[in-house]
Amino acid sequence: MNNHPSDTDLALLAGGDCGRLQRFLLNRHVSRCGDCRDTVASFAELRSESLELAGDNAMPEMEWNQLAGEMRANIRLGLAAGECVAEAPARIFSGTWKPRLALGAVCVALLVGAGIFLRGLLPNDNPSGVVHAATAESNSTGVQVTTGASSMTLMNHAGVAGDQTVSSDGAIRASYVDGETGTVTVTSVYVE
Amino acid sequence: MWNRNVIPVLLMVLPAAGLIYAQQSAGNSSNDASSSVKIDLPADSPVTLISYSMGQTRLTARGGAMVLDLDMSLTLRNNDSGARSVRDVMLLITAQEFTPGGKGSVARPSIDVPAGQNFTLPIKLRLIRPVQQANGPVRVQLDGVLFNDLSFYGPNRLNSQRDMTLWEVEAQRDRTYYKQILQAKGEDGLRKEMLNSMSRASEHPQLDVALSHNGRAVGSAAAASAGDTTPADKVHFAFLELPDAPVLAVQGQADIKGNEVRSPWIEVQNLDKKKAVRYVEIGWVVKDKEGNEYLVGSVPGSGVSALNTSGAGPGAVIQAGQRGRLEPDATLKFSHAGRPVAIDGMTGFVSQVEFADGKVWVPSRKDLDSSPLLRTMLPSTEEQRLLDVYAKQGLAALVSDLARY
Repeated sequence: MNNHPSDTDLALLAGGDCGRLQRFLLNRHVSRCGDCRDTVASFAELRSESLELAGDNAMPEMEWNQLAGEMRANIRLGLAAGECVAEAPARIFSGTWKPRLALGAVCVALLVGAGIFLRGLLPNDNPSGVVHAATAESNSTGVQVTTGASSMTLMNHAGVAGDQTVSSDGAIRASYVDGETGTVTVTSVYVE
Repeated sequence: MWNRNVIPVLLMVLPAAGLIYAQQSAGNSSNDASSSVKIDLPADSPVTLISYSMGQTRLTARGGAMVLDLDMSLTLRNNDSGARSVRDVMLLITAQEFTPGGKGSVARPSIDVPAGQNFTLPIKLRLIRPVQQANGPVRVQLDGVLFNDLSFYGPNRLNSQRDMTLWEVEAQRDRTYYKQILQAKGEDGLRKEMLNSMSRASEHPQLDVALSHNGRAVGSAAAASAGDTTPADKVHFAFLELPDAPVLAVQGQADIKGNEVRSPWIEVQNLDKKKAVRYVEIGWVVKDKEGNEYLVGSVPGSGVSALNTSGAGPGAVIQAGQRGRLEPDATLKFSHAGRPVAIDGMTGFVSQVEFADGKVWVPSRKDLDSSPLLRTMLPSTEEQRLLDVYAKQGLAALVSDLARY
């Protein structure tokens, strides 16, 4: 059995998410191939474990095929409606070369491009106007202070776990021994 | 004909080329990670910067965020004109463009660097910011230096003088303790004591903690807390009384909801008959529903609000014999291995006291041995170091270290 289906196809089969023809072909292969059968079984097991873990938060069962059919129908309806109301397409190039029009179009395109790019460069610390409070956190790798989507983490050297303690006035501290030098380093973060 | 075909292509290619060029320019300027760090030591600092290396510092894009990993090492020299040895150093780390409202520090306690000698300080830092957010430098500034005679130099913005003095007093306590063991019970006795301490140090279960100030939660956290109408339990602290403590914890309470502890407060009494107290710290042990106990930190009282005065302030003190209240405005959430740890009970004990004259008190080794609960206390920074010396270099190296000073 050299031509095994991909893991993606096997995962779709395990979840019942592939089309009829594909399901038939895959089932035929899986019925003859022990390795792929095991893979499908493991995917199915993983899926059921995930559903169990999700518990009440599990996604509701969806009729994906029905949903896809509705989406396709809506798209077709939109296209048909567009054709009904569309006017005859205007000709961009009427056959005569218009250098002023071309130059203007280039300028507009450059302007739009530059605008999009510069928007990304502009300082934008707080796009939604929300005031983000700083929070401090500790974990096994170090101590971290976070403000909105930005953060600063003081990492423990060489990945060693530090002894951590929190001071409820707004500081978290980790101390660890540097394995190379045998000296102690204490890292702290503070929120104001 | 050729002209007509090339126009649409130009329309697409030119802006794209411009964008690519501009992005590359921005990337090149950002990639100069060394220019992202500014090290600033005062001109009259007794500790001077000899050199620094940026190690494997790199800037990478990850999704919609830029990640700056700094792996720096600073080499500093003790240039003290008074020939004092440096015991502790603390550096203030700020990146205001990344984390306004937050800052960090890196300290090296439990060192003994005579005048004229160099020492290193590692700074391993990760900064994450959205791509659209402005870049800015990481500032490294000296916050304080503590010498062997407990004298201090520095701007002290982080109260590093108090922290480092407490570390040094704890270091002296633990060095004296192990020297006494060596003297009284010999090397075998010291070995047994080190093994006991190592066993105790390895028994500390750690909790991950998230801390924020009250009333400022935003976004999903605020929405979640607003939607959750479950009332919090008002849980009282139990207190352990240490025989020699100059301050007594009288009563205390916190609002507890699941793994969240909000608005803790503790009332304390200054038992000293003469000296005013400037700072009190209550060690804080929490118990989960399974009965496991964790030392999670402390309820400190800097600028404690004395009950007989109006309001608190950085200079507030508890006068001799008077009571005060430690009331940090904070919310803490506890978790372990990514899972919330529901809090069932809390115990406190006085762990540090600073008097108004700058003198400090820490529990004695006898105090620490007085209750099994105090076994949850973390070893001091000096004890951590001594345990490491014993574990990696053996008993002879430890004895030699204890004889140094």
